[in-house]
Amino acid sequence: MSVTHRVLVPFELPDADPLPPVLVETLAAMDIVVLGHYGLPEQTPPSAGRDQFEVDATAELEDLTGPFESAGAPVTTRLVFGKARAKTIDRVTIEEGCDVILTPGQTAAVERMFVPLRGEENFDRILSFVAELLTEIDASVTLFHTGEGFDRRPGEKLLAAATDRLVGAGVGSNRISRWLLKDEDAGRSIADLGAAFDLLVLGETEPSLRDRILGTVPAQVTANTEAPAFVVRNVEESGE
Amino acid sequence: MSDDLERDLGLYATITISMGAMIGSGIFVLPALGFTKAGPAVILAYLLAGLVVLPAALSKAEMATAMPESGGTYLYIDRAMGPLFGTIAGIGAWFSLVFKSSFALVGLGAYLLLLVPLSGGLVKAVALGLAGLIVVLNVVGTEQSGKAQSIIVTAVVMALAAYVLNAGFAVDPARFDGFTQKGASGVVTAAAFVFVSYAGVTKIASVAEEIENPNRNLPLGILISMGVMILLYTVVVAAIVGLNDPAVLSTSGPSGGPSLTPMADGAGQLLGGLGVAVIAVVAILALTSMANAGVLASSRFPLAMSRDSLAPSGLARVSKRFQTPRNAILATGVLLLALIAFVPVVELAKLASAFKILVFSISNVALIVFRTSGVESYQPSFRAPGYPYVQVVGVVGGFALLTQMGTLPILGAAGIIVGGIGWYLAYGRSRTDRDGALGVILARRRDEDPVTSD
Repeated sequence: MSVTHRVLVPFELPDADPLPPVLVETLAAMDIVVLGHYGLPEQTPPSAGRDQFEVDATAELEDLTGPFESAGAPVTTRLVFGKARAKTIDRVTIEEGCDVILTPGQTAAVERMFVPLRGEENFDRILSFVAELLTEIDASVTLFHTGEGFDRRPGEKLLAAATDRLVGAGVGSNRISRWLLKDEDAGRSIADLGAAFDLLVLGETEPSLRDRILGTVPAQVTANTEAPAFVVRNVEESGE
Repeated sequence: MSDDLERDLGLYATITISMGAMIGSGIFVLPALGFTKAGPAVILAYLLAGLVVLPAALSKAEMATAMPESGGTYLYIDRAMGPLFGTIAGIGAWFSLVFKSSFALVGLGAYLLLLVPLSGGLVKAVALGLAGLIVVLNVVGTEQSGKAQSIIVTAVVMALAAYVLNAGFAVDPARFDGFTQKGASGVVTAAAFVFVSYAGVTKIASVAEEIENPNRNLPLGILISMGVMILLYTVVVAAIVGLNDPAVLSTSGPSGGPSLTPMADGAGQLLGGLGVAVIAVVAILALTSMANAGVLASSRFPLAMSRDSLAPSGLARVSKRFQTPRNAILATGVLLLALIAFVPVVELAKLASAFKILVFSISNVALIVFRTSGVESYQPSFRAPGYPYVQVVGVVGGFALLTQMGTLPILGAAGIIVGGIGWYLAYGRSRTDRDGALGVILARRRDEDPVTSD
């Protein structure tokens, strides 16, 4: 199984926070799309903003991209001016064919990675991405599942299959731990538990009605923790 | 680095955007002014005004899909007919929106005083204060508040519906007597004055690029939102006429002029003091939102003209600190405050409508120019139905309305044309060398017809 991953790394210009060096390291072997989103208020037409700030923004983006390039990662750069940040990220993700989106966060080191698994959905892609991260950095990983899955495979079997997949990809079994929780509210506990780790990898979820009110699980999790998170898109179901 | 937007606005979203841009001073402030011109037949005036706006809405929607840049009306007319007409249209559109915003703010002040026991003489002071606040907010920059907008639209439509339903029981049929008393010319004059009530429909043009399935949803969105608003205006204005003593409508405003709070005047009869308060709150919400959107949108005209070398380049500069086009907003703000301070309220409304009619008429001509010229770069993804008859009706109807408005609005419109020409000769001509699609047509004429041209 060799899925190649293309990761979208968004920056909020101007004066973006640079990425923690350890994250640059984890991504060194992947295809990177760096998106600089230059936030403009409603009053400013994007074309006027581009005219005036493009030079500065391009220079800033080059500084941000530098570490990736010196780490040897192939980088594509996009610079967008406008107000709708989330919408821009979604659009560029699809245009550039990215399957993973980084939600930036601060972390000094990556030692404990947290991977909640919901079920069969998106299973292969999440694990292939996790395996690739684990070959780049020396971290432990916690595979997590709560009782109420979205399909019928029991939680234990799911976590066992995930472990096998990682071991098969060359990750030492001593680095992998499993955590099965019988709890109704998967979203909430993921959001709470994730705070104890320094890197998260999550599957994208289709927003349900509940999500539309409370925010999707990835959105809740990333709001709840300082740690960076990779959101793996469900590419197969998006019809690509 | 493409800037193209995703098409994710469906028909419903398109309709609410359009309605949100229309609801405001047209229904909360203008009915009494129309009433003084047409009597109870002001109801028909709203219908007529809507029909004359429609062609321009369709024309602008088509041009918007061919030129998805910021600048709107100004840009289409400039690219169609060259920088001279562009200058006239840019100044006209800017003035019209600023006049409309200042009128909305004066109305807002009048409604505010219904809630707070202060002297009526303070309306202008309150309006000036609010205008200053809105300008500052726009300079500092605001987050997009589409959600707030749709909540306001829903609240306003519900309040208007409740108002009409309630009024059904309290209306005095005798108030509709004298329906034909002011005659057809009264209706036409009133229609010209309330024209600006529908101007918001062209907001659809500014989001045309984000509308999915534009060939279906653009014309449908325009037609449905116009239909709904024509109906809503008609029944609300009918309720206002039926509820109020004509004398109150015509003379209870500042210095004996038409009332600025016609919705609230009759509301007292429905639910007593509470009715007045509810209507006042709804009116304040709608008018604030309209004035704010007006300042934001109108500052785009000096900005776009400046980017095209038709106005000093400083007007296009985006402030590093606030990341807003501060100078364009401030210029707009100065005009806004001056208008509120020095121009009588009723004239504000008349001039706003007169300038709008002028610009809308030129928009219809601009579409005809684009289609006739067949320039390569003009590739609209939506084509307005009924071309060219609809556009001709729009132009003729517009000028018919304009001629019925009395001396001052006609002078105002003429002043914009003369002023635009003057500004172009003094500033723009030496700095521009484009001639628009019209130039293509004229050049072709000369090539085809070298002999008979003398």
